[in-house]
Amino acid sequence: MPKSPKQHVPQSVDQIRRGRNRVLALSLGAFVILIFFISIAKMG
Amino acid sequence: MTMTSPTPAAAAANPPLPADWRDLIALTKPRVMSLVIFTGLCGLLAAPQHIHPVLGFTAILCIAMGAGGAAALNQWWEADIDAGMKRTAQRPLPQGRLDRTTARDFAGVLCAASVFLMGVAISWLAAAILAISIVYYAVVYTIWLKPRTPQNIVIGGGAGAFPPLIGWVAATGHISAMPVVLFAIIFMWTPPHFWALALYVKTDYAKVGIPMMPVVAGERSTRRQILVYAILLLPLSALPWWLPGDEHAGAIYGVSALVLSSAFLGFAIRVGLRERTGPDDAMKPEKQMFAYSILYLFALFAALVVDRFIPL
Repeated sequence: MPKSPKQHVPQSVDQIRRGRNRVLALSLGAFVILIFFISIAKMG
Repeated sequence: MTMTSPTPAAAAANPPLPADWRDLIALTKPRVMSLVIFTGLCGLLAAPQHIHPVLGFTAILCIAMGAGGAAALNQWWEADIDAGMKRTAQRPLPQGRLDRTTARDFAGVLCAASVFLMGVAISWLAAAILAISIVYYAVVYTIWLKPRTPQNIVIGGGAGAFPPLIGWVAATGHISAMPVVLFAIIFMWTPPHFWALALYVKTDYAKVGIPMMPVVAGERSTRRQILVYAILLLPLSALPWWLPGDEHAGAIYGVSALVLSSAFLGFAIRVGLRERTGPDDAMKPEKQMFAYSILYLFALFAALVVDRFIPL
């Protein structure tokens, strides 16, 4: 069956975990920065 | 091409891999979400009060997270139905690339976080409307209406109509006539938009037992109803131009709405007055109408924002 363009290439468990951890870390970092800027905006 | 889903035996033999982040993103229906974000942003920008850019960004982020969470709940609930439909069989859950518990937990966290952040950072009224929209889509539409009545998309269409209302309330802190009219426009747009699609994927819906209008009432009735909704949408889309008070839109929006809605009606007339020529009918007018309906909503709301910033 031809692959749909939406499907990504299967990876190993380690690669998947690493990718997820990286995205989670980035999301948390962005969230903390957002909370900081929201606080500044609310104070203003 | 046939789609295959992993059987329970195969799934037991090959336990699923941990969820890839791209599958979690796919769970949020990013393409649908783009329209939700855009209409929410337009509601926020078209509001008479200005909002701090950081708070505006946060409001849109909350709308996106809420819509994504509701979409993920929808896919979690409908995983078995999706597996039986060609259009949806490639989604992560029917493909077995994601387990249902992860999908449910991810959806729950997104929904709760979006409502909480909206309440704390923006306003609890906007958060309450966001929560209502999530429950409306995930429970009222997905669980209750969709498997029971051919009017599912008529009533359930309200779920997709909330974003401009939420955006407006995030900016102003209150509900007024304009965001209610914007809600009504999307509400009226949803049935012809969705039924154009349902006409050419009718067999898929019939196969999984979902009572979509073309399956239950037949194609002729659905085509007539598409036409009726498109006729009603024409004056409704121009209503923001005629609203009393200082909230009303200007001529840029009004003329754009009349032109765009007339073209929408043109597509609806083509679909409404034709019949399927046979099993090999490519359903081109229906596909064109579905594609135009998406462009229509983008263009209509873009015109509203342009009109707000360049008043004539």
